[in-house]
Amino acid sequence: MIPLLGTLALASGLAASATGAVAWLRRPSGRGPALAAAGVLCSAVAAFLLLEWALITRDFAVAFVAEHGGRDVPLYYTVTGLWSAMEGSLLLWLVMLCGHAFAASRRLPATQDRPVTMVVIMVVCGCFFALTLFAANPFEAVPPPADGPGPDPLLRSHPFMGLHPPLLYLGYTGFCVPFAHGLAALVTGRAGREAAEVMRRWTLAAWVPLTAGVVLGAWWSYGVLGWGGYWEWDPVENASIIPWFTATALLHALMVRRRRGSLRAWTVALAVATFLLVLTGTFLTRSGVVASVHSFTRSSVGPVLLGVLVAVLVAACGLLVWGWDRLADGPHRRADRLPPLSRETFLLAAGALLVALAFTVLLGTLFPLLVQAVGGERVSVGPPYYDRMTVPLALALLTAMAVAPLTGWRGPGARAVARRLAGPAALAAAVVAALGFLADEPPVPLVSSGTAAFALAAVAVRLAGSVRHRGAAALLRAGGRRRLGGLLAHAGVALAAVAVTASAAHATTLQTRLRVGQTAQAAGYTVRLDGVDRERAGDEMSVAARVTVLRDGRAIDILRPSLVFYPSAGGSAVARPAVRTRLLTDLYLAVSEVDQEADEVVLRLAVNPLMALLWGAGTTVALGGLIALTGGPARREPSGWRGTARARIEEPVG
Amino acid sequence: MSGVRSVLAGRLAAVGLAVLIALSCAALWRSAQQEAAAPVRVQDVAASLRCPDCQTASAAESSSPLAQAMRAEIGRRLALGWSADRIRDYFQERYGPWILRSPPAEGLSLGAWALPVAVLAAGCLPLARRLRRARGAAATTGPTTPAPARHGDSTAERSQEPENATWQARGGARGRVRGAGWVAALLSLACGGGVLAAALAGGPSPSPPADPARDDARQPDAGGYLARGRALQAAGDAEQAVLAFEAAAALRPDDRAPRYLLGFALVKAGRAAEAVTLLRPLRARHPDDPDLLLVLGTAELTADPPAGRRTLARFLSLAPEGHPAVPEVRRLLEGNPR
Repeated sequence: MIPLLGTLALASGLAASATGAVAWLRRPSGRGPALAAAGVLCSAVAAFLLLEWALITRDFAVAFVAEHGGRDVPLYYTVTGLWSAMEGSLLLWLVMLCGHAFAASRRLPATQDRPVTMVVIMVVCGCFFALTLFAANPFEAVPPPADGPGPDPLLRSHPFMGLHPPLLYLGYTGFCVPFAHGLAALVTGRAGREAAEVMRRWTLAAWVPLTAGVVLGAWWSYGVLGWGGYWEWDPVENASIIPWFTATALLHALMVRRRRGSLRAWTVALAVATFLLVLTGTFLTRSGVVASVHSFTRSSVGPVLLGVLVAVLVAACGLLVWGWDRLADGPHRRADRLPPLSRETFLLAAGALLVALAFTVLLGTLFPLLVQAVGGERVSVGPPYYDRMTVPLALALLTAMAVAPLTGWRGPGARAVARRLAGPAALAAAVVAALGFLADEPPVPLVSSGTAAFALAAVAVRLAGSVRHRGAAALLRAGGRRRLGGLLAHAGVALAAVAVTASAAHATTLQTRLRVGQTAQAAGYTVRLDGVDRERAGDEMSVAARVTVLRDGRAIDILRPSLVFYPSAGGSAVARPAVRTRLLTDLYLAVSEVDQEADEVVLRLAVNPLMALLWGAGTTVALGGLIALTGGPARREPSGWRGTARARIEEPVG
Repeated sequence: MSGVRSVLAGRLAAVGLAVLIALSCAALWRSAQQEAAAPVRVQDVAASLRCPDCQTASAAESSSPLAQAMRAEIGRRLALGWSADRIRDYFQERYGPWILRSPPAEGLSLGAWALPVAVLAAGCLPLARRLRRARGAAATTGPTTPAPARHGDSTAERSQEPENATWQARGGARGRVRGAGWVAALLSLACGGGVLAAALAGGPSPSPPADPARDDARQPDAGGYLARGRALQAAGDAEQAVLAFEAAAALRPDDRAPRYLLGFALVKAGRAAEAVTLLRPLRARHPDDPDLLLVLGTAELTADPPAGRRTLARFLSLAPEGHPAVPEVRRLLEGNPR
């Protein structure tokens, strides 16, 4: 029954997308288009719920459940099991995408470009319905097995599994709206400030969950992968950070566009590029063309997805070339003089840096493939490459981020800017001098800490200036929330820089073989292996090392890092690290080997500083975005704005 | 009086800032000197090299035998006074550029380093052009730069996008029709390109390739088994690893590598005799393959020690200069002189 209903839901989604596209093209003002958008969302939700139902009721006649469900899997991981494999995660993607499509159909202002925007969104929805239906249908009927293997072992050992993929997908699919809106601007030539405001809202609405998703992804990989770190420049991680860079560049370019009316073609190009990069990332990670620790799935979706990607790429690039002149800044704008110390200068520089960062990470991800394609020798691109290339760019970006809010749009003059920057510069110099002379830090962490201190102090100066100027209450009112959100996001980025610097420069790792009763020491902690416990619960077998943590000879904690086996899933054991998080340091323990008889384990021990700060900083960035999203009622109602207008043509974030 | 005081305070602050900045520069200089003088550590060199039998790990973090051998080799060469670069070159010669975790700055790989810089430069170009124009303007209009800037700003402010005007000025209906044709052509081109790409990439058919003889259709599975075997071995589950490597060996009958891995896994699982039976027939066909001799010798050392020592001695005589296992094997043989 469910196979039939599910396939029907997917087919009706495809039909509704096609109808919607035609309806938006023909009669955008009637009831038809709105109904079609609702139909698209209902189909996606129905398919999603049907598959969840099949998973929960363990209906093994459904192919996806037979391959990724299991009788003994706990309810939580049964539910999250839907997005633990290709076919199901496409359904999650569809729900999010169609949710955005429905919201766009309701909330986009009824201007000339709305029909074109909606047609593009409907076509994208249709593509993904077709992809799911024809190349990765999770609802195929199979002769039911007695039991299934359950989800991939790595994807059922951390509660973030229920948060990280949905947030990431919410962000990814959200960029469909700015993308479609950008294409509509190319077709209609309509790219004024109202349009910029619309694009900002939808970009920010996708940027917030993407930011949260990236942070949770790092957190998840820290808690699951067992090597003690949180970012490995793995293709899947890269696929999430590349669109984040371009989307951040887009948000800032949109500030310039709303304020000065320039950069129209550039913002449209960024909006289009962001969604294209999302699709590229999805293709790369879902097709298995690049080896990744996340390569959970390998399927025939790759070629079809590549087809969709190439089609969208050709269409978008063609439209960009065709419509560029129409959007390019007019001669009066091109001749516009840019005061060197104005905010626009720094926003443009930050944009260039963000795009260069995105390009570097994309190039690094694809480079082994590219070299192989032109017949070169096999090369690898690993963390040393990314560290070397991205750290200078990131430091320059931090500096631009610190300076830009302290300048004005019209360039307040070098003296005023210098006065505002004096405090941050003094703090940065003091930090560098103190760390250099007292802590003997190497040069790179020194420069990084100095830059982070500079950025942090600059945020404080800006905040103090705002409060002095307008009062603290003004920041909390709708009009000030954009500024407050922007400042929070900047503060989060600066704090994250502090945490990343500290954890990169001062992590202590140690891998050692311990017998019961033996101890190991790292960074002031002593750990003692007290025993090895074997347990069986449900369909999981685990071997846990009982480890007592001592500090100054006193036992302060007992940790139980373990290795987990799922016999029904086919045997490969996954580590389940134990982490003791404190404000300043994390103690991270993971078992990588357990001797069968002798009760001897290979223990990986890492002491990572400031990890709690990193997660807090990431959350602050996302929270800043959220606050900026709620900010700002319209000062004046632009015509054709629906409902309570949220456009505000005023001084933006920063 | 207060004016004088505030000027004094300002001067003092400026001097303080200058002192702080000078101090921070000194700190940076000192730390750069210290770093240059610090001895190169094995971990640093190993972190820049891949572990040859892992998926993504570096030679510094992996616990595989090959990575351990590499670390020993790096330590030995550092003790001989080799520089980090020379050691990297040495490993690159043996394994190819693939062993380096960041591509070498030569040949094709130069692109990985140069292209991002080019993109950044291209991104900064418009900015630089506009800044230069600003300076030019400042030079011609004299020192009153803020005024023209404000003027430009207010025109931008006022010219609040006559969007529909632009759209209509483009030729109204006629422009629209021409545009529609364009868009249609573009869309068909896009669809054609998409279908072509999908077809080239292996056809949009959701069913697995029907032709069982096609090698590439089966390769990934063998690769998957190999990866699983390695993971299991790393996790200490030698028995399961044996099963995975057996599957991989069966899928790639002409490839010797899975068999070697299987041999190692068998030895680790305490089934050395089986490894010997598996590998001896191979030696008849490839008597001079050092890797085969290494696995076989290790296996024989448990099952048949004299034969094992003979095989390992032969491995030593055939192993290429600097094979990572050589020091270990040499120590082993010297430890049991017979």
